[in-house]
Amino acid sequence: MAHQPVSEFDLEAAWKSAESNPEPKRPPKVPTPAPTPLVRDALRRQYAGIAFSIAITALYLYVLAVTPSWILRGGILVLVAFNVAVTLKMIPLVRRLCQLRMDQPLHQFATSLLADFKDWHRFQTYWAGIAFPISALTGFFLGGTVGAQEPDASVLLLKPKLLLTALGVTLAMMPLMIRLTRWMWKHSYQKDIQRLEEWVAELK
Amino acid sequence: MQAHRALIFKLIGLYCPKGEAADDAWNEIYSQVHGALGSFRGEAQASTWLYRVALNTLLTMQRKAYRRPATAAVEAAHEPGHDPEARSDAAERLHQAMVRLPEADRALIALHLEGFRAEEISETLGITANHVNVKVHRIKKQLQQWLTNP
Repeated sequence: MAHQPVSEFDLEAAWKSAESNPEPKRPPKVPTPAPTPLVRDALRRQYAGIAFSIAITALYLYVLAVTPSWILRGGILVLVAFNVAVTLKMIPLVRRLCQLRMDQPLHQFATSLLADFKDWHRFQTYWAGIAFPISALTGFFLGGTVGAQEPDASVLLLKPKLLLTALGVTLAMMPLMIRLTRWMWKHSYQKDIQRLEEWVAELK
Repeated sequence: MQAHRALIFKLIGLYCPKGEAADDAWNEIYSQVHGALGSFRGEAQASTWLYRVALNTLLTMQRKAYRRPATAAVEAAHEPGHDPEARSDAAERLHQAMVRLPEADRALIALHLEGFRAEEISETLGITANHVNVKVHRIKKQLQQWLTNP
């Protein structure tokens, strides 16, 4: 059947003549206040991150208690401080996501949600970049201390070859770690962010 | 909400196909509206408020359900003085054209075709009324092009 050209009037008439989707077969569940799926997913990841951060901090505190080396203790203390900072930073983000107002105009809603995600991404990438070398060097010397059965890591630090190897390996692994952080982020959030960006761009 | 359910179902139809995904979307919107009721202060019209919640919910629904264009046929309403077959065809063609639009534009043109004023659409979407008019003009032109040259 040949289609007739549709005039502007016809657009409105056609829209009005269209029936909406049929009634759902399942009646709506009793509503329980819960975030939407995208926010729920983001929150689940945040909660997992907080749980992981707490577990790692507990492990660091254990190592801090048993290691005799003051240098390693210093490194571990920095990592504990980092983990505490990350966890504290997560709390307002989680709160913002939990309190996200669903009745905002679409553009503001998408923009604020996008800003929250990007803010979190920047924070994670920036601090992971700082924490990784400290973590790697601490781990390297902790392993070396235990392996060599030395009571203090300062003995290992006096070995230039070992020190250079540790620094070289850490530096070489930095780009890989940054890539991994970005990949993990992309894997978790990229599609959501892309969709939010599209909506914001479309409404510009 | 009952008074606006027809348009909400139409909006859902623009973002996901009939069936489980549409049912989930309806349930989610229903749940979000009830959850947000406490924050309704009457600053916006009830309908504006409702469509804001509905669209924000559709935006944050699981993406897999919303990337698929709706392809199911839309049945025409039977009104006296009109050819039901022709209307069914026009409605279906319009639906097919609308799901080709970017996601935000679908909401905008749906509200416009439903008879909302530019000011009401601007309050729902958070853009200026002038911008709404410009976009409506552009989207209509695009739809006309697709509908006349499918």
